[in-house]
Amino acid sequence: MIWSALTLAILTLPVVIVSTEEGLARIPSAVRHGSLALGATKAETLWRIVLPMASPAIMTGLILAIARAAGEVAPLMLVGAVKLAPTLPLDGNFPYFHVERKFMHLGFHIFDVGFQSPNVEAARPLVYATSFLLVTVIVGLNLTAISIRNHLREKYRALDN
Amino acid sequence: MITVTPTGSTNDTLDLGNLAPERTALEVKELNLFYGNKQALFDINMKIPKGQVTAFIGPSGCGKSTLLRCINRMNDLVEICRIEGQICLHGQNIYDKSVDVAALRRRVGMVFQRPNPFPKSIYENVVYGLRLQGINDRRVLDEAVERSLRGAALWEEVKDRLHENAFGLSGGQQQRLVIARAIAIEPEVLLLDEPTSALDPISTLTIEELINELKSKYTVVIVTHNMQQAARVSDQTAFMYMGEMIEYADTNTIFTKPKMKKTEDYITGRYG
Repeated sequence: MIWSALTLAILTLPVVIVSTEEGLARIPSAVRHGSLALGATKAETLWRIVLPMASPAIMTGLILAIARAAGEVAPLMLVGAVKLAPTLPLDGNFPYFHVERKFMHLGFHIFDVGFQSPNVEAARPLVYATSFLLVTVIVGLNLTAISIRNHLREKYRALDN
Repeated sequence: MITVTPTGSTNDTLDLGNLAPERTALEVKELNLFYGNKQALFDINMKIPKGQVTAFIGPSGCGKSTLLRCINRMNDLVEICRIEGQICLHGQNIYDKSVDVAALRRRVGMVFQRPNPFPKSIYENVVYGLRLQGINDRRVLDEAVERSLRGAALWEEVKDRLHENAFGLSGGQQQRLVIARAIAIEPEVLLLDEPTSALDPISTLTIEELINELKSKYTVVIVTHNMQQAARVSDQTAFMYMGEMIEYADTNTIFTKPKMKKTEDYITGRYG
């Protein structure tokens, strides 16, 4: 679990970095200078002005990265996804979130049921259902990303004129 | 020639060369400034009196904004910038190693050429500087907002929509909001870097009237392209050219009988 999390984190890092960088670059230096001129230190300016203003870009990058990671299969086959995990990583026993447990993966599940099963015909509905769920999750995440971005852009729209 | 209507000159002419220490807000001593290898300011010496409006005029690129930005150390943000000499704020050298730059900037407020409100409500814009100092008491903040907005002649226009986004204000209102934000933390000196160059004539007039009121509480230093404006609002005027301070005297003298040929040429519009 923890290893696949790290794998995906490294895999999607570029998306997050690029969008964050763009978000930071769009902030006019005049606004930063305005904050510094009021006696803010650089850290205070970053925390109170720069990060909130860059949040649309950062959020977008973050959600796109999650969507991207959700569809990723190949690297996970190597580092932790299993055919059938008897327990979820999350349960009621302390410490509730068990990073060392194996887990199941939608993409891997499609592959497994569709191609490795002895009776391909019988498994087909299951494959369709799983694919549908996977596509819905990814489309849903992307739509959320777009709406959050639009909402935050609206809030800071004066930046653009 | 420019007709001078000295609305500002209420007191007798000061002897700027031998200003008494208790009347001096700022003293610039042998200031040289370099951008990389290029020298931008040459041996500037001047004393800026307390509670008055001092204007810097001169053609574009003459270093007047650079000099202004030295006073609250905004030039520190320019990496290739190197400064020699001293600027003393009420006798204390602001380029001393022991000086906390953030604390200095609380004492020397600055308003920029273009209005730069934060993407927050009008209220939050004004209290930004106070919140930085850890003041979160609602009553204190409310009072500061009203006082600062009244001080910036904006209260009547915005008192019913304090919690709306500051970007909804007009350019002139935004600039007054930025002034309110600067005076909310009660600085000793207020630096204005061409505060009206992005504004229409009516907003300009409002800001000029405001500057006249501000000097009762603050020492104001203003950079302007507009000589009529310098004549209207300032008590002292410094003329700069190519990084040098050519002439510094009370506004009346500069505009009616300048000593230097260059000053005369500039204010009569022969170059610049």
